[in-house]
Amino acid sequence: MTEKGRIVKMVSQDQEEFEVEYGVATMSTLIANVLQDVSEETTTVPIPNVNAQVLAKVIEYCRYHYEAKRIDQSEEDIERWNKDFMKVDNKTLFNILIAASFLDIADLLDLGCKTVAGMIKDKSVEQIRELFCIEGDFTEEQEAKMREENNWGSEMSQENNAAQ
Amino acid sequence: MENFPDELLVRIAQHLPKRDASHLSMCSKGFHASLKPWLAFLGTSGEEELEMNLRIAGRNVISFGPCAVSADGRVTAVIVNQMLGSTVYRIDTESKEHSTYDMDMDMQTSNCVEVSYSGRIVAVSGGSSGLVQVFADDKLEGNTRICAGGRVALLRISPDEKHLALAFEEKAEVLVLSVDGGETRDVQFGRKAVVPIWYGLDFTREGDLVATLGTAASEKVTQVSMAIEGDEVVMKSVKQRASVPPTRPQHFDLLELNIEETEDKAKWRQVDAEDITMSLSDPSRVPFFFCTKDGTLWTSVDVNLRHSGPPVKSRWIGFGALSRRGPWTVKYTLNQALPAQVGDEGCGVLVSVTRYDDY
Repeated sequence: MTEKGRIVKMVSQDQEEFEVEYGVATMSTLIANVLQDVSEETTTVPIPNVNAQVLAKVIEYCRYHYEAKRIDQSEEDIERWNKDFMKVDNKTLFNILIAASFLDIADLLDLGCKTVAGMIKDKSVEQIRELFCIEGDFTEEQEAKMREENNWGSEMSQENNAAQ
Repeated sequence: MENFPDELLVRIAQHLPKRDASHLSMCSKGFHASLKPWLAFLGTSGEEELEMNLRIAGRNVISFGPCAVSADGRVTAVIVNQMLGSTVYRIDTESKEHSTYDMDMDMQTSNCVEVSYSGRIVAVSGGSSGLVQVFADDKLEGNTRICAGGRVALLRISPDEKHLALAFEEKAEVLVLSVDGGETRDVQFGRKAVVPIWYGLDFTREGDLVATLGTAASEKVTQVSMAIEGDEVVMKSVKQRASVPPTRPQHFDLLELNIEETEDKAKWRQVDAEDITMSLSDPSRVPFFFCTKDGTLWTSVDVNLRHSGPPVKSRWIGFGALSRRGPWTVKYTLNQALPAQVGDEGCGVLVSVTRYDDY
């Protein structure tokens, strides 16, 4: 069977099956490596770490980018699409990131990391904690020491002033 | 996000300015532990990030290859591998200007690049027949030399910028070429070598050549020192040390400088070696020894660089290169950059060159 017509069946953690074109599936380096190591008759690749909802999103990303490359989509269009694609709730976003890392899809991983970094930029420690539901577990002394070590005195007072 | 893998957290932090990365690390003890190495990395004194947008003419950028820097840290040359060959970028990190060299068509894939002390000369090797191209004074066309020794393994330019030294992947010899295209001199040693394994090749500050070679047949590391005296290449000494396993190893015992030695005694000839373990999988291009302008001899040890002073930690992101500046050594890292399609004009690649003046 030629690679062109080859279909790969990706099976999510919750046993949902996704039929994906070979070129799209092999945007994942992990899957490309797996398919290289097995016979051509093997079409099913289990993805045990990724649930169906996230896998569907990842496939959506790969499919779009595969096609965008094929039809030479403009950079502006791709950027716009990427931006819309990343408009998901935080939990989904983090799961996409973890899936991209596991499946070794460099572009998606980079896009996800940039998106999260964009959310963090110019935010105070408290705001980041709030945004990502993180419990601060430093004692006051530890926190004060760290601020001092990082010489943030002026920055923190600015933040406090802004908060007031 | 609380249970986010360390590597992802670091990748996110890599897209943040230092202040924001610090804020992220303050969120929890776990985050702080994960990001501590990255923050220490960012905290390096004299750090300067130079972001440059390079537009690459081809469409299929595969990866960045090795890079090299001049002794003053001004000029960086980097190999960009593309589907149909490679391009060498010469980046002036002060003016932030760059140019690309016209590579010989036969030089399908370039594998070694070297910048001379002053940055005036850039030498590139590539191809299975051992092509070398030398570019001088910003001229985009270089003179091409066929060395016929097979694929080049190591390439160095002498401090006086008059000579090139080459070692080959499958031939146990060092070839010394003159930069201006004059006569070549072939220095053979280890003739019985079946599969030579080059561990290092460099010129000392005085212009002597130092090379280390292991062979599958001899199971020895041979350390050779040569001097270029006028038109002659004089072999000064050969030392053999039985410490290399019969096949190309994942780890091997490398001869390291005695770090207790004072700087003036630390020239390679006076080095008393001790065994250490080093991984060959490290993609850094710093060779196993590298002589900086002040005469310090550096070796790469796993992810650390060691030199004849106290050992210092190095931090690699992608390919890096060490300049020959001396105690104020400038090290560059070239962050991995992902190609992005930009319509009909080819690939736009953001190359981030970071310079560290931390030694």
